[in-house]
Amino acid sequence: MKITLSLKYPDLESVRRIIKSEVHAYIDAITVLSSLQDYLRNVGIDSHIEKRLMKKNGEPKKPDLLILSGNYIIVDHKYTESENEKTLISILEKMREYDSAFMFNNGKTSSKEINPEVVMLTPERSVRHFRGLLDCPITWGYSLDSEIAIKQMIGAVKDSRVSSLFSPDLTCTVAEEISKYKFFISHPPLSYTSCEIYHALWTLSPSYQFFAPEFEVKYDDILDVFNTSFPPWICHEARQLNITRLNDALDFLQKIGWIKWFKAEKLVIVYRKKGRLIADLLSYLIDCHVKIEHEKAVIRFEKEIKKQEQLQKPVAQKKLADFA
Amino acid sequence: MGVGALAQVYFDLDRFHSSCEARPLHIFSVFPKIVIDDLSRFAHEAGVDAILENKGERIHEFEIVSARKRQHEYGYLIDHAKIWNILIRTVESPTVAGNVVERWLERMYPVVCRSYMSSNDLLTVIDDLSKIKDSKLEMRSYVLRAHDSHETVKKWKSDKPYSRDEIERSVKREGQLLEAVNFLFHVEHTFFHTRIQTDGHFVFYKGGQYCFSNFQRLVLSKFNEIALTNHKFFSNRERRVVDGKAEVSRIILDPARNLGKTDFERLSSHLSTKYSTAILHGGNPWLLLNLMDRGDGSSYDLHGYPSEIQVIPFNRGSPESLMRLIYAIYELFPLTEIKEDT
Repeated sequence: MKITLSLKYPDLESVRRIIKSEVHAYIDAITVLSSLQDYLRNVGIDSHIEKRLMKKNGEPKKPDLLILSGNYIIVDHKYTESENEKTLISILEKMREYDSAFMFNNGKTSSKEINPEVVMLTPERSVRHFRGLLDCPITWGYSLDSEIAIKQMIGAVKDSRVSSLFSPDLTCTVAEEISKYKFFISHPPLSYTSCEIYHALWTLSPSYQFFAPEFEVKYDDILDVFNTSFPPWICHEARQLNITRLNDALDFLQKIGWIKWFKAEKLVIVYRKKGRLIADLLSYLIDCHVKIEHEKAVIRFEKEIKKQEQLQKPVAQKKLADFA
Repeated sequence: MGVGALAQVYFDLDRFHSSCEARPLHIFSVFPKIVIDDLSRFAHEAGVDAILENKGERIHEFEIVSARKRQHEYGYLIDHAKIWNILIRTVESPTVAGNVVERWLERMYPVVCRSYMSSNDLLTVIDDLSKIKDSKLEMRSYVLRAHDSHETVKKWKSDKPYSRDEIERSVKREGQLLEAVNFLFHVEHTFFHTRIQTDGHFVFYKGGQYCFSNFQRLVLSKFNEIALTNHKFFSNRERRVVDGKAEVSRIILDPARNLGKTDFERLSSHLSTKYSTAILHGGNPWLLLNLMDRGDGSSYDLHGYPSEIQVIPFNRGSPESLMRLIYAIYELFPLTEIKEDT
C-alpha cells in the first residue's frame, strides 16, 4: 500500500481510512465471491474465481469471477467507501478494461473467443455514488448480513438463467470456503496477512513447550501452512508470490516486536507475552500499519518539501546574479 | 500401599467422611496432555509446584504449591489415563483449598485442562441418580451464574422432589449458566452430600457408610464418562488438506434464541478476555472471529448467525481447547446445545 503524496501534511486519519477500507474490501471479496461461487455451483452453474483470461489483443486479465452460463459473465469486485467523483471514475475506467473479447480456455478444448457481459460487484451502500455516472456497467450491490443478499441495482444481465436468480435479490449463505482458505491471488492488505500468519505461527508452536517465554517455528513450516491457506485453483507456481507476502508479514510482525526472524537460519521466534491484552488483534495490527505508513508518508512529505525548497533557491540566486 | 491402594484410599475416605471430623474434599476432573511422570517438571515451568508419590495402582499422593503465596494443598491424584481425578483434602478453610487448586489449574493449562460440560450434561448425571431404585435425591440448592456477575444461589425446599424441568425453566428465565447443583443422595441405607459443577469441580462434604465409594461409583465415574464422550466428540477436528483441498469440521451450536448485534458484541468481548481475537466481521448480525488459544496454539474461526454459532478449527484444534471454548459460549448463552457436525 502506498499513500499518495500531496503537499498537504499527511493526515493520520486518511491513512487509517484507506488501510481499513483495504482490509474490509479483501474480507468482503473473499466472503462474497466464494459464497457466490458456492451458490452458483449448487444451482448447476459453473464459475471460476480469478481465472486468467487473454484479451483478444493478447493482454491478460484476471477477473474476480467468471460465470459460465448460457453467456459468459465477468464479475469484478470493486469496494469503495469514497464519494469522490475522480475515484469513482477511475474505478469505472478499470471496469472498462473488461469491455473486450477474450480467449477462453477451459482446459478441455482449445481456446475459444468469448464476449462476456461485464458486472461490477460493489457494496450496496456504494451503488448510489455510481448512479448517474456515465458508462457505469451493470452493477450488483451486495449486503453482508446473516445471509449475503445481491441485487441487480444498475442494469441487468441479459443471460436469462443468471438473471432469473434475482427475484429481486439473490441470497446465499456464507460459504464454508472462507474458513478453509484465507487468501486469493489478489494482494491482501499487510495487516490482514500478518493477522493470519501470527495465528498460524501459534498453531506451529512445539507441542510440549507450553510455558517457555518464547518458542521457535521453522520458516519452511510456516510456508507450508501458508500455502494451504490459498484455494486449490491457485497453481504451485504462485508459491514465489506467496513467499513475498509471508516475508512482508514477518517483517511487519518483527517491526512491532512480536517475533524475531532469523532469515539466514530460516527460523522465527515468537514471544508469548506480546500482544496478550489486545481485544481485537486485527484492529491493533491495522493501527500499527497505519502508524508505519503515516511515518513513511511524513518522511516523503518532508523530503518533497526540502526538494522544492532547494529547487526554488538556485532560481532566485541566478536572477540576482543576472542583475549584477 | 501396593495392591489395593485405590480401595484403601476409598476406604479411608469413606471412614473419614462418615465421621464427625469430616471436612469437605475438593475433587477435580481434568484432562492431561502429558504423562503423569512429567507433571512436576511442567508445574515447575508454569511457576507452581506439584509433588507426587506413586502409591501403586493408578494412585499418587499429591501435593500442590500455589504460585504467589506458596500455599500447599494435599491429597491424591488418580490416573485413569485419559482423565485424572484430583482429590484435595481441606486442612484449613474449605473455600481457600478450592480456590488454590482452581488457580493452580488455571496456571497449569494446557498441561491439564478442566473437564467442562454443559448444564444439560450436568443434569443428566443427576437424572441418572434419581432413577436408581430405592434411592432418594434430596436437592439443597443450585447455582446460576452470569458470566459477568456473581453467582446466584437458588435454595430448594427440602420436601420438594428434584425436578429437572424446574431448574431448566429457571436457567431459561434468568439466562444464566447452571454452574452447580448441591444435593444429598440416599441409597442402600446410606447417603452422601455433595456439590457438582459444570467446570469439573466437585465438593464432597460427608455421608454415611461407604459414602465416598458410592459417590465415586455413581457420580464421579458417570461425570468422567460423559466428559470422555465429549472429549472424543471434540477430537480430530483440525482442518486437513487432502489432495490439495482443505477439509474442515464444523461444530454447530444452537443458542436456543435469536442472537443480535449486541449479543455478538458481548460474545466478541467475552472471548477476547480468554483468546487472541481478531474481528474480521463485526456482527451486523453476521459475526466472523478468528480466535487463537495462547495456551496450546489451537486456532478457530467462529461464525455467529442469528440462529446458530459455528466453530471451525484451523490446523490445530485440541479437544481440551475446544471444550473450553464451547464452555465460554455456554457462559454467555447457557441454553446453547450442540446441534450437529458435518
